Amino acid sequence: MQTFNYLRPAHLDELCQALQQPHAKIVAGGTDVLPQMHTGRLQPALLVDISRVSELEGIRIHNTQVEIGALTTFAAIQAHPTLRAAAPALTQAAQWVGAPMTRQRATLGGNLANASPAADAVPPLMIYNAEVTLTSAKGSRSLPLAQFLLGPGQTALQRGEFIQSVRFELPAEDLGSAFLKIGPRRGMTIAIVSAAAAVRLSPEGRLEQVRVAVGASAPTVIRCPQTENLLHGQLPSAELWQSAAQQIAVEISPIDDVRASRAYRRRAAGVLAVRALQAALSQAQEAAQARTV
Amino acid sequence: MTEVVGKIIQRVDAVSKVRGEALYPGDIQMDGQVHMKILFSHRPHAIVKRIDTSLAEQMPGVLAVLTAKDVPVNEYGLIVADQPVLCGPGASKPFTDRVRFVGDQVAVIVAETEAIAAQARDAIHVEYEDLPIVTDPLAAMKPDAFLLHPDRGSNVFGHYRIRKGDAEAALKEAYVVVEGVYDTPAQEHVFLQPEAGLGYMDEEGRVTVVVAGQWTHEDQEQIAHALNLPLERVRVIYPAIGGAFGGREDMSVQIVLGLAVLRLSERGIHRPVKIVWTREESMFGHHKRHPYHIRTRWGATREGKIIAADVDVYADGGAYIYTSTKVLGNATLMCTGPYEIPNVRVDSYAIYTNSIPNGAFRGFGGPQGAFAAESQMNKLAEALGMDPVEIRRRNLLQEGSLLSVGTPLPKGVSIQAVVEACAQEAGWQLEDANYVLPENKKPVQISSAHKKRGRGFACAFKNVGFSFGAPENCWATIELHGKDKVEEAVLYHAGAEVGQGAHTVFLQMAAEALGLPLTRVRLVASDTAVTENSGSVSASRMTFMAGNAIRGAAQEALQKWINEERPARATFQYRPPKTTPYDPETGKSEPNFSYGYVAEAVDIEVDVETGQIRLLNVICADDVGKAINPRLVQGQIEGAVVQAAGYAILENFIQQNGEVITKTLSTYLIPTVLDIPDQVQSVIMEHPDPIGPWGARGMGEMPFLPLVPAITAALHAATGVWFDRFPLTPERVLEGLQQGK
Repeated sequence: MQTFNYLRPAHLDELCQALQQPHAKIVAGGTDVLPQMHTGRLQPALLVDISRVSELEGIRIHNTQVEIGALTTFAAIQAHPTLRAAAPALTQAAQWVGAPMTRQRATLGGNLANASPAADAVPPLMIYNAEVTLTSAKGSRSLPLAQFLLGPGQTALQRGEFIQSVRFELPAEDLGSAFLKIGPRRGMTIAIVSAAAAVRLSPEGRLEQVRVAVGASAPTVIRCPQTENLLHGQLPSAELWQSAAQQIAVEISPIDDVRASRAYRRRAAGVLAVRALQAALSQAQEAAQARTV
Repeated sequence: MTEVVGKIIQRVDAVSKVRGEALYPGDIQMDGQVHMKILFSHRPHAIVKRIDTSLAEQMPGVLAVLTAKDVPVNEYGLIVADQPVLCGPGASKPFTDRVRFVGDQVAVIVAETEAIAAQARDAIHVEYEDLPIVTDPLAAMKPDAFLLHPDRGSNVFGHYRIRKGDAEAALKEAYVVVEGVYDTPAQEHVFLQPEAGLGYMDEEGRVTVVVAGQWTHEDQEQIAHALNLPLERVRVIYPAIGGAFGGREDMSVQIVLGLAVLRLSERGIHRPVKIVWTREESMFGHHKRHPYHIRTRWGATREGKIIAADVDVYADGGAYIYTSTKVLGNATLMCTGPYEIPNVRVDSYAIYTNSIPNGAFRGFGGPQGAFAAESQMNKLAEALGMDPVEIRRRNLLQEGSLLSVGTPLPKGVSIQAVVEACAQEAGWQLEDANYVLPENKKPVQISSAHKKRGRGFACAFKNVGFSFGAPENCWATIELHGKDKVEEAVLYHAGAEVGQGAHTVFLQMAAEALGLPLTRVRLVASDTAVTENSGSVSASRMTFMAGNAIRGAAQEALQKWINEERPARATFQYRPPKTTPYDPETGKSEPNFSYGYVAEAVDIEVDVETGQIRLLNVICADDVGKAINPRLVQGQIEGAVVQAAGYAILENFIQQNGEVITKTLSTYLIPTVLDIPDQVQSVIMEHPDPIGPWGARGMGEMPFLPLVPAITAALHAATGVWFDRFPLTPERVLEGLQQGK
């Protein structure tokens, strides 16, 4: 077993102080950090346990503003009724994280800080245009998720900074959204490819506010703006979906790894993103129908 | 009528295991224990030029660093002693200075703590001279291939021939000929408990090893051989065992623990030595299921009668023989399926490569043989426009039918009944004396353009007990205590409880044989100091063999009881009918003394856009002769189906150039509860084996065998595409569907 120093701050200011020390590694739920320490891949000199910093916990919704504290577990996200109703892609992604036991401990902040291209929480947050609030002794700043995630395992976190929360605007009722994932297996699995999509229908039945994010297919989770543009203002049709799937395959830059080949990812990402779009669309249609009734 | 046998009785180890009280080797702590680590080679093929242990030996807290020169007889192996205990210079046997796979052991370190032992291990400097890496078994067969074991003269270490009739001539006359080339993957056992053990000198001066294995007395023999000790100076004890599946048939920590105890005691250190492998060490440190390459042609008449099978079988043996020759023997017999075929040619080979050794794993060559045979059968049915059940019915082995090896099966052949029971359960019906699956019984398609459903069928036979002339016997001892009536019966038996419920059925069979309630019978198990040789828990043999031994011992003990011996103690050795090895030219043999028969029907759903497969329903009909404990039988069926489902669609053990890519359970994926079939329906059949205890046959492996070919048949029914290699990962399925179009 390794030896390391351990701090467990109780408040934000203590946390800011603790992070002033060199080589501090934050641990929250421990579902990423502890396995890495067990294998020796991670050998922190100082472990800062943030699990008691209550300011970092919880889901707060003011009017249409959602703020999810970094310490919020996926079990809590999964169970939240407002998110389930208005931001179902995030609920669906939370259900895919690890196993029930993992979800009791794993936190949203950890999933972001880990910066895996396959992170389940990221595609839905990207389509909800989420921003990450980073805090340090010097103060706080906000970054769009795409600017926070820099590459596999790389984030914009500076020394002394931690993730305080994630914020996004609660989607309007008529914005449908969905998350889908293909893994080598159906539970406790790292994505081969994942996709989140959001869409709204205009009164004429055209696609609006199209947003598509794809995971495990580039160095970070990415939005696919060209696909979004291609779809915007169009009437849904089989041909349209086909060209969207082809466009997705062009926009991503997947790799070969132990889970799947680049070629498979290109095909599957298109299929999956279109299915997510279709699921989002049928939600939007339901919302539109409910409105007219 | 039986009183205890045939009843659902709660496993005797259930409570202790559920409550976490059962002690597995890793859970056992002894006073004063020290810790061992192993330096693995992490090289696929090299000569060990020099090992510098000086830094490690100087570390405070290090008690011993042992290398090849410290091993009295530096060789071991279940069938052939072709593996060094520790690879390196200094041993008397030639070529023991080579490492031949990444899990070869180079040094053992004993220290006060596990952490010190690990540090010392990392401080050992080994100089290697790399050798060419051989990974393709077919290339390894070529005359100019680099030899892994120069002293053996060839990389081919096993070869069998079957010649029955004239396969080539018959193929020319066949109405239809189906050709297939099949490849099966390596599979890792993933038993829950990685290798672990404790070694110490017991009070009688025996080198004692407490470990999880499958055959106490064989472990004892291999330890004694390597340590050059008489058998009685070595003792092996099995505490609770966390799964085995064949993966504990060969040595892992046994010999090195014994070696450390011996060498420490010579230095006056009398402290227990403990080792626990990490999961990663377990993943590369023990053998896998053999990958097979099978090329085959079968011919049939217009009526669907098979007249010829022509088969070439290649097994990747990996770096050492382990049980490969025996596994190959099974595959050689089973690659033509449970069918009577008048003309058969089989040539089979087991070949050394620098991959992890391959060896025993539930099914033991049967699953690979069955995949080829059953795929051929399903393709023949397609080629002839026949129903897959009907074509089987016309070819299945019956009482008196001759096997490919020219002899009949032992009496009690029930495969026909098993196939029909499974087919009927899955909706097949007899119409005009032919089996058909009516349209309204086929899987209901769902209203989704990209999801297709299909049903597949396959069957298999599998031997019970050691085959092809291997010495086969099993001992049991029973002691009856009391005065006027038997107060307590004690059964002494070495048979390993690896999680399958063996100890529960031992007690059930002893109670039945003695006419006692279960509560009066006690078991003393798996300690070479007090139990006689039982043979291994493998080959689906333990219920059959132990049951017959227990019956014999019970009869003799009861006789002694009547003769007023107190305690009445009897020891009995059961020997089944003799088997014979393959004739080297024709393969003629009496391969086995007992078989189990099984058939499966599987419904699957495939997403044709992503290649994902979902297993909807598995119906497994298994003739177990007599279900000694029906719940345990059901557990074995469900467990085997789940393990075979992982083999079929998920488990992908990847080695590249001798290196293991999938060393962790996040890259080598086994099924979760979400990946297993939605439903497994067990149809337990009881056609007695004439020589089985209470009619029982073995059954631990059988349900594993037909699942993969049944799944590929279901996939074909759904998509029209055959898959001749697996696992059926989404990627492989999608690629196959694209090519099949």
